Amino acid sequence: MAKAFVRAGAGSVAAPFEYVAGLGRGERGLLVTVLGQLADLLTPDGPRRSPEGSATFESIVSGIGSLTTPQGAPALPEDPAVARLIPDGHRSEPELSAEFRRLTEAGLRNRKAEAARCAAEALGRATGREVRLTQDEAQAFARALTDVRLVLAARLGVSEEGDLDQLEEHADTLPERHPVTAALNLYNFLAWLQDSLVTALLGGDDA
Amino acid sequence: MSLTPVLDEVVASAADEALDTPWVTLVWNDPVNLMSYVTWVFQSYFGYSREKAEKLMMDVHVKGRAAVAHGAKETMEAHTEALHGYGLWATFQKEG
Repeated sequence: MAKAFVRAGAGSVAAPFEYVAGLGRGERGLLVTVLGQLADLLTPDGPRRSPEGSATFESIVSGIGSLTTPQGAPALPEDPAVARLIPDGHRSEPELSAEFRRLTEAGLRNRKAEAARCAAEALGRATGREVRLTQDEAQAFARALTDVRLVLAARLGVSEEGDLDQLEEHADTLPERHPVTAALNLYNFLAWLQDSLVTALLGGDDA
Repeated sequence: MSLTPVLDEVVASAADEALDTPWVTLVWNDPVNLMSYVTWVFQSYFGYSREKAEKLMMDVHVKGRAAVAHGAKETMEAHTEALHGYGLWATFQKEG
């Protein structure tokens, strides 16, 4: 059973805050895999992560499409997942959006991929089940979890309030091992993990 | 020697800027981002108080969007880029 993130330490120089969770090997492997695929999706020509645990994840998403783009192909702007990760900056003036994209897209892709790699590296350092993050790593981890969830949501067709509830109802009628059910379980696991991390970053429930 | 002319100039220049550059950064509701996460982003990026961050988060959630910053166009573009870095659905536009 996974243990949610809690904050440890005193927030002092001698004992800085740390964020500690307990995750099993399978959960860590799955996270490393989706984080690696997120980095690949954002920087298709960048360094690639080891495919640890990929069989599990591939089997989960095989029915709903992969997080990665076809091999060798650049991430296409029309990919709705990439479009959500790097949306237009202006809603009604295409010239302003284009100029904004020209100035920001490469940097955003790199920073998002870097956060995903940072989170994956922290998971790779786990001793036993214990995942321990510094303040900077915790922030990168929270951002990367958001991006993975945005990609999963796009792949599942969740784009508006209520879509997720509808999908959950639909999933109730599907066999237990259906890919959509598995993807929903992953989505909800990521949301649970992220909520615990952000609550810890905000200083706990009573802050 | 008086400081007054200098102060007047500073005030006038700030007023001009406000008239010339009424831009705003908006954050739009989406079904993915958690309420806790959006609150954390507003606190950690903008340095807003917990109270202000939660109010803006609730505006996004209930009204569908919230104006999270006002100022010069370049600053609103920088905020939009940073918020995209956090995975929030942000845009900039002229206020009005």
